[in-house]
Amino acid sequence: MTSPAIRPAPPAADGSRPAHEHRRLRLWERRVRAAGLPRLWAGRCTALSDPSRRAAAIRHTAATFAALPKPYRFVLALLLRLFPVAVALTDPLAPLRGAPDQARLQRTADRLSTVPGCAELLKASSSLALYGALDGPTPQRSTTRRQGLG
Amino acid sequence: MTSTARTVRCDALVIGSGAGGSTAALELAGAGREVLVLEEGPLISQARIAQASPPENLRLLYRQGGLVPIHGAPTIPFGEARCVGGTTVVNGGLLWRPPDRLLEHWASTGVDGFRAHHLAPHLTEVERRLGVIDQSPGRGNGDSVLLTQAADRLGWHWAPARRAVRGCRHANRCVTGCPTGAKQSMLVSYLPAAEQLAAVVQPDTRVVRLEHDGTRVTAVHALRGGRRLRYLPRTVFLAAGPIGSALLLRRSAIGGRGPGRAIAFHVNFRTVARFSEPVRATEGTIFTAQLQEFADRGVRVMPANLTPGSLAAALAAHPAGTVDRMLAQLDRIAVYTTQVSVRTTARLSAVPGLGAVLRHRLTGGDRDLLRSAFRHTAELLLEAGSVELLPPAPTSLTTAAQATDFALHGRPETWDLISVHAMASCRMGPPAIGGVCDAQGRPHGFTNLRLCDASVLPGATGISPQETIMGFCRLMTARHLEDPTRY
Ligand SMILES: Cc1cc2nc3c(=O)[nH]c(=O)nc-3n(C[C@H](O)[C@H](O)[C@H](O)COP(=O)(O)OP(=O)(O)OC[C@H]3O[C@@H](n4cnc5c(N)ncnc54)[C@H](O)[C@@H]3O)c2cc1C
Repeated sequence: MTSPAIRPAPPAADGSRPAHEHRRLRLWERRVRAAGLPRLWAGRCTALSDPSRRAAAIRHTAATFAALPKPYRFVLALLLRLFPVAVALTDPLAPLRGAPDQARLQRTADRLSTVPGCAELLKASSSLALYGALDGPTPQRSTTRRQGLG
Repeated sequence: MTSTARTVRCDALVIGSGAGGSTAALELAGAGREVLVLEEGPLISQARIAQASPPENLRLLYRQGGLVPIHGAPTIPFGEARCVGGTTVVNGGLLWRPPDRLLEHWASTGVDGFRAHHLAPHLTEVERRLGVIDQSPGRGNGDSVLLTQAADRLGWHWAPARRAVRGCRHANRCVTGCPTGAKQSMLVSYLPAAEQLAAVVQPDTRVVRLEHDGTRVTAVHALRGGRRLRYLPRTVFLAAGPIGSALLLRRSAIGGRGPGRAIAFHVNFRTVARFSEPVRATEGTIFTAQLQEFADRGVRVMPANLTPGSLAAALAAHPAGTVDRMLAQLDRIAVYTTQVSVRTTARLSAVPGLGAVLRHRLTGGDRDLLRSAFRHTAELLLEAGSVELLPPAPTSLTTAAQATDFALHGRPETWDLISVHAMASCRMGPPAIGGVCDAQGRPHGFTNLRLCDASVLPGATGISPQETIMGFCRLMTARHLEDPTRY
């Protein structure tokens, strides 16, 4: 062999991700939040009302979106921008009604599920969010893992 | 590529470190060849897999976090890995021998030299090296036990799961990377063995093009951390997987429009079953038994790994309250996968910036097959004692009549389908019937380029394909090593 074995750099621990990756992740987290998706996810599963689970849901969804090829990211970013408009159109009186209850969130989600583009975004993001929230690291899980390795 | 690319001379260059690439690497290294393996994905160590949560592993190990779409009605996510060890790192570890009838059928289509007696010693060696056994149930796996009992009552044939595991600890995380290292993925088996024989594995190195003169590959161009690399190999073993290999051939103008024109694939749907007694499916390995009664029609049924997240994700489109209701009874829930070998094929287009874009068009026959597959699945699960079934569409079924009605009138084009098995994208066979490669995996007319992964299989296997891929690859490599001028 004319070239020596090239070994990869040791994997970055979560906190020491390259700065640009970190910024990109934060940007996608903001996009997901600003689209109003987390409230609709919580309408699917009450566990997502818990702030730490909700944060895990946003993290997994945003990180998955951020790693898609550029053209898909472009379309997603556009859909996320337009999503609040679609929400407002399906429930125009929402601002007058105050904080939405579960039933209203569900009605909104059901209507959005018939709007092309929004339907796919809602379904894909809900799947990612539920997976990230329920199988992701929770304070309890991290402890178990540390014990398991110890 | 410009002359600024770093140039590396090498002997046997293997592209891709999954089932096919690792097999080739080990056999070549064992025969004394100098082997260099280029892998696009990162090296994620066994320790890192164990430490990370399943969602983190999904993002680390899978291509596009598992969201590679096969566009069509419905759009089907295709799962494949992008890491050292390839898809074997995230697969179920099931190793089934290709049935004799399948091999005879392939032989009858003009692909000779891969009959049962040709492959037998190679399959035996693969099984020995990977420690393939009949998987026994753990504390959980009640879902598999219920399947076998129901099948026995119905007089239906089932088989114990054949798995490549050494000391499975039933961690229930097979498809997001085995945290204990028991599953014998290429990462913990073939690749370390190849490295001991001086093979070198270079992660994070994506091959972008094969330069050639119409009969020989003269250079392989790759990118690593933004740097261009140019390899000058004697022989190239292409094993970038069913999609990656076809994409590379297309990009390199090898094989005309043949590569990726007709990709065989299996589709899976999931049925969530609620039982009145605890099943404890979360405490077992992926599954220990598979229903094979309808294998001749291309349908197999088996349990899946069950976790709160995977259950909830599968039910994301179901009516409000369903996820909460099912999570509240998690110990009575089991999820069953029905694997269907559809007749239609997917088509690949190479799109700049996007890579491979895949499309499918399920035929009427495929939709009928999916409906009848659901009918058999429902009959099995109701016989197993399930009191509620959630099919792959947002509804709930509690009686046999409802299940039959769903099977008769369901619209598979709206179901949640996924695929984890694709193959035959650059199939071997005569060009007249769409073959891209000869029986040595060489694209027709080429001498020093050999495909040795799922892409080269002559058609859909109907079974989980890893053992067939490894058997074919080992046999082709052995023939080449025996007589490099002829093979
Ligand atoms: C969730 C899941 C469960 C499965 N379960 C089973 C099972 O239980 N049993 C079974 O038999 N099969 C199973 N499979 C399928 C099986 O794992 C695959 O069919 C098999 O691994 C394919 O082998 P391969 O060598 O063709 O490709 P892969 O194993 O996918 O390897 C291809 C490698 O090439 C790399 N690559 C791609 N492009 C490039 C490039 N341009 N440059 C460099 N490297 C590149 C990829 O990153 C990858 O690592 C499963 C698959 C999935 C997703």
